[in-house]
Amino acid sequence: MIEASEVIDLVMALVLTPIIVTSLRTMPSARRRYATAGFVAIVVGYVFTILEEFVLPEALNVIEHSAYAVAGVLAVLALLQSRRSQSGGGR
Amino acid sequence: MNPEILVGAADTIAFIAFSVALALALTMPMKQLGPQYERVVRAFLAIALSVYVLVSFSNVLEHAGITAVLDDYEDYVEILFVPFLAYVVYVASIAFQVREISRAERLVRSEHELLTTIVDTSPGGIMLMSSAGEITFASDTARDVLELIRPDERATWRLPPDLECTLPVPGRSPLDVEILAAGATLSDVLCVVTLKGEKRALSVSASPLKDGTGAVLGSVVTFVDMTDREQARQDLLEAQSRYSLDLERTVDERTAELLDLNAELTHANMAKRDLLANVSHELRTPLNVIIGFTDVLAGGLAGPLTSEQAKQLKMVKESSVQLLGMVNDLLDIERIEAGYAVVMPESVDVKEVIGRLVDMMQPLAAQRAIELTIAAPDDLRVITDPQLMLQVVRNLVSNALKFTPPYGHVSVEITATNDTFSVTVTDDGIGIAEEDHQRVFEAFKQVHGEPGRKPQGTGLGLAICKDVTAVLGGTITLTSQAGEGATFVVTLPRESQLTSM
Repeated sequence: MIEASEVIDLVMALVLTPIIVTSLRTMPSARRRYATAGFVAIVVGYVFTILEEFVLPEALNVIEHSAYAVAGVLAVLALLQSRRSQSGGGR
Repeated sequence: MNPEILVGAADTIAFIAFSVALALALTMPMKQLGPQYERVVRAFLAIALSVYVLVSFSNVLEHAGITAVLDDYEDYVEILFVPFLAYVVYVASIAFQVREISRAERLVRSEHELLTTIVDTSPGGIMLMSSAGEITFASDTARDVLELIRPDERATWRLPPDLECTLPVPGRSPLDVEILAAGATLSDVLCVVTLKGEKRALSVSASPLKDGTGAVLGSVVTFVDMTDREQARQDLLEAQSRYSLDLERTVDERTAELLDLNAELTHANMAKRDLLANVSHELRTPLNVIIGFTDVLAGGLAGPLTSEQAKQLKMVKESSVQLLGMVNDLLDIERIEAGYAVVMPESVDVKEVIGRLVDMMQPLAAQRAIELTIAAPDDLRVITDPQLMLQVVRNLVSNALKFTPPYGHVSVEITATNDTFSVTVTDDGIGIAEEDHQRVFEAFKQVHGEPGRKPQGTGLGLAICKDVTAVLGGTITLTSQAGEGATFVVTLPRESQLTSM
């Protein structure tokens, strides 16, 4: 059964995507790439959370959790990249 | 593989990854964002990441079968993630933009400072005239020189209403507001402005000021104060004028002095000529008497002479003849210079006339043990004054004999062309140095041939030769080196005209 919070998560993600993407564009390219990919992974997780209620529940559940794991890894990469560039004095 | 295991593994990875990300977010420097944004971004980023630390931790506990107690809170907390993330990204974006704007501002400010320094230190004035006729910018020099005015601190500058920039030639003023507002192009237009009762010369240039579309916004006006330079130029011109006048006056004075001096010299020269002519004439008569009576005495007509008396009479005669020759030379040169003589041309057999002269001079040559020869073509007849021609040849031969040592050789050679004939007198005597070639033809100038040897004669012989040759319409040239003999070539026309000397 679809839970309301899952739908709200997806709707908020979709509504705020333009703001997030537009803001990310002003950032340095390396960090932007990882951060954007991480955000997309989160949104994918939201989508599969809802889809698993209708089809392939087990497989989509695995993909959903895998998407969160990927998002976490990408977040680490984005932050590491940011720290490296700052320690180097660049952007 | 069991999906539960995969999900559990994914949740574990997600928990670890988001925990590491949270740790990084809390500890990493964020200097690029600036201090005012750093704390906000760090705090909200930490909250956003904490959401998934909690969610993944809840999932790990749930799928490990430990507890599902956090699952109820998970959904509510997860809703916060995207808004917080959006806020973090948005604030970070603003922080980056603020930083870029600050950097651009600093750059613009430093460039403005640089330009202001350049403009203010420039010796010329710079202004920006808008299309509305307002001066939107004026350098210190422009404000000082043109005495720009403005009602208050916030108003734009304006030209003084009574400012006039007068051109040297009729035309519109280069500081005319209408022209400049319309976007004028001027290049070093010189005009004179009167400010505080003082005139200043300005060289004004202007270029249109345009926007990106090409629309005219006004003019950039620059000018240079040329007053000092113009004043220096005027001073120089006046000094030149004064100097020219002084020079002209000095030249006039010197010319007058020279004319007076020339008149005095001419007068003195004429007096000298008269004196020389008179003295020479008066000397010649008694000299002829002395020579005549010496001949009478030497001939024994007045009684027998002893050998000693004869010898002394001979010396008296030689000296008298020599003195008479000098007097005759003086008379000749005076006659020529005074223009009293006349060329009387007649048909002359050159070989016969000059041959006779050479024959007459043979005793003198023999006395000095010098061989004197003549070579001339037969039947060479010319129309010339024989007496003047002989005077020239006589002087040249006499000169050659005088400066040729014993056992030397003097030759007279006559050659002819269709229009001219030449008499070449060559000797192998002491010669004449090249630097003396001009001087030997000047009157009363003699060249010392050998050290310690006093020149003989009056120094008029060659001067007479030159003048007489010129009167006959010919030329005389000299070829000689010191110690290597001399060659004089007299070239005369085969038909001389009747002219007065």
